[in-house]
Amino acid sequence: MSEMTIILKEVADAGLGAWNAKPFLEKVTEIVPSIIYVFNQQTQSNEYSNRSLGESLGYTAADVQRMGAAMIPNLAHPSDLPRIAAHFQQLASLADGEVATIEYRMRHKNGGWIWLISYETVFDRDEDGAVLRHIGVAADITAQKHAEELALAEKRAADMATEELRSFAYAVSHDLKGPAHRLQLVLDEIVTSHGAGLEGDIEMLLSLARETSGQMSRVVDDVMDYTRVIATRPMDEPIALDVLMTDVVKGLSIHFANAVDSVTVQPMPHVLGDIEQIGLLFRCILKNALTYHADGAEPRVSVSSFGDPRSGMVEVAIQDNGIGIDPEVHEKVFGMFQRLHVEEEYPGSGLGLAIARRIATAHGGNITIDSAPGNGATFKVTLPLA
Amino acid sequence: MTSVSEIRINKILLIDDSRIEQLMYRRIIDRAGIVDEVVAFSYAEDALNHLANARDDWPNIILLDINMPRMDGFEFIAAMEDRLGTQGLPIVMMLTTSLDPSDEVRASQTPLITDFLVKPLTEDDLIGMANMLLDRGSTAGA
Repeated sequence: MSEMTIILKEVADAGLGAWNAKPFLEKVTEIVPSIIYVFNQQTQSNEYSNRSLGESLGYTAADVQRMGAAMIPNLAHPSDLPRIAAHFQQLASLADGEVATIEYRMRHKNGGWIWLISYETVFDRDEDGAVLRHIGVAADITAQKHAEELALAEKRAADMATEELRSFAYAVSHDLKGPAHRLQLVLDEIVTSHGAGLEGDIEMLLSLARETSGQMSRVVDDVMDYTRVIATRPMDEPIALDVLMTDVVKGLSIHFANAVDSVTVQPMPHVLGDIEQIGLLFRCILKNALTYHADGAEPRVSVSSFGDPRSGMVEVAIQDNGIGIDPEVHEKVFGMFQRLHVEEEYPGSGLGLAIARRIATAHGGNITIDSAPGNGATFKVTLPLA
Repeated sequence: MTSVSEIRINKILLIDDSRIEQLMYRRIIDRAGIVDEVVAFSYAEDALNHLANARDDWPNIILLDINMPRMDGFEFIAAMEDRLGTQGLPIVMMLTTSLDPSDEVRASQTPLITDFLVKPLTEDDLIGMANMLLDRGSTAGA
């Protein structure tokens, strides 16, 4: 056993009271970088301190003596003075064992501000029980405070940039919607008014222009959906999934005449989430399921679910009889503007699955694909159970 | 002096996923009147198979889009080098709507890409390509 271990063992055996604490205390007060002090509340001055606060702040012993009891009011940051005064008040009524803390700034002789944190507790009381002295430890936390301020400023700047980008993306897509719509109107009007008199080539070019402006409107709509999703924090409400799903399918009838007959929805539990966003999620997945099937084949889509109370999640499976997806690109299809087909084969913006994935993860869930080419696809969406 | 009749391009291979853009480029190319043949593909992979199967009938110029489903323009370049090597390949002009500066940097760092054109294609672009072929021919002949 080392000498120190022997001493510590003796102390443990004999009890702390039998131990001569003086050398221990001398060493401790010498090596801690903090200022340890005992303050007499009646004389309003330090009766003990391991090192001088004033000298730690760069002042000479003569400076400190000249300032005397006025040192704290003189050197403390003016805006911290009211808190310091309140802290002193609190010290007078402190219960035994209670620790009061305060963070405050003092001016260094070089003009800079030093952040200090003080921990203080009752040292002893007079016969009436009033606090006579308190003991405190003060530590320099300037570096930590600066790091905190820097991190906070950087976070604020990053939040602002994100917010700016969100509103910019939304404004751009919103403002593009108008011209895209008007272009479509003008082109339609040309065909309506002059269609009969148009020769073949102009008619063909006009139909290409209408096709293109229609495509532009669809992309703009999807970009708007996406920016709306990233701009809003989802609500947390119970949603009857099967009711929502039936509504979504009805809404899709505008684009897919047979949607209601093609999609069968099994009974499903309630989930927790944002009804608008979850509706958009399933609209994206169902649109996919109804779009990607071989020429002439009738789409068949079945929606079922499996709730797992242990994990608190439900897995919704959307199974189609479409062309399927190569496992190699199962992750790729969730990327923004990622497409596997040209517009003429299957129209799309390449944003639907990116939107769906974004909504699922924002709700603490996910989307995965179970599929192989030619064998249909099953999209599995996990969401929190209500 | 180069006489006007010498400025010709035998064959252009157009790789672009938009059928409408293909149609418009064909019209611009036809109007320029200096190109004998245009072959177009919507998928880069199909274009690569075409090159591999018709080694004796390679185009002089490939007009290559960047953003396409399945295989993008840069993936096409890598796959072409893999499959066909680097000898005697056509001049590749990247033709794109991309305004992403990193795409242009990437194109400039890809030896097989000769130039980076921002859409739309013009008749002057085509004349420039024909002159490039002439220069290449005279260098090869010297």
